[in-house]
Amino acid sequence: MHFSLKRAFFKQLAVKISQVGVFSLLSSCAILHHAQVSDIDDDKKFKRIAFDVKVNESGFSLDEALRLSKGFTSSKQARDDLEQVRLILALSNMGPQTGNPTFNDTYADQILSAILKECPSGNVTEVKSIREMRKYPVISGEIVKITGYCLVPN
Amino acid sequence: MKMLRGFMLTCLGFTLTQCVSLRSISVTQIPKERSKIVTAEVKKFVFLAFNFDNDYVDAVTEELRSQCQGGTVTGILTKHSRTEYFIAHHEIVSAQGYCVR
Repeated sequence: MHFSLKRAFFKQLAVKISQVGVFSLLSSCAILHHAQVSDIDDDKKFKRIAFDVKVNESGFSLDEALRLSKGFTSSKQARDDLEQVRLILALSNMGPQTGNPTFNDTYADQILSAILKECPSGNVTEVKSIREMRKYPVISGEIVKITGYCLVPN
Repeated sequence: MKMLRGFMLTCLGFTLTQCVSLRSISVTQIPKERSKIVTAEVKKFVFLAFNFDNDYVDAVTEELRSQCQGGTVTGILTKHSRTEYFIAHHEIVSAQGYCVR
């Protein structure tokens, strides 16, 4: 009896570990939210110098954390409570959004100064603005990436 | 019978899930001269969620520039859309603009 209980426990543990493993494997990916291209100037009078500016902030998915906790909880009451919290969160966070919520909403404000640092004249072309997310279990990297060329006279 | 039902359901899944969703759109200054249109499109097939970078987007501007050498591409309409399949999807970024010389 004791042996079979131990076996059942280890079997359950193995299932949980493999679930987390598959979940982690599937969710460490780059998700594209927005792509934008600016005007392209191919004037041969200018030399093109490439620049690359990236800012990021950590995102946190409370919904995913609650879902994971629910999976690890054996008590039905606790699972129901977690589901209630998830419902409240879902209802209070409705509306369009890209990626996970961050604790700082000004992380992208420094982009303009970073571009001007790379290209002091401000004469830029072929600017690609990418908003993407690096997704991991529960947390994420919320990224804004700007690449382009600085035009300097030949 | 059970296998046939499974097969039918899979087929139904494939046909029902090829939906396109528009993720983002943007446009730049539109020029007076709009005689030469240049277009570019890049796409990436993503199975399940296995996508580890979005560098494929870089090819869009290179393709546009190659079609308008020595000129300016302006009035660029950039579209980012996604076509969903059963367990995979296509990420598509397309751009259309006007070549001004």
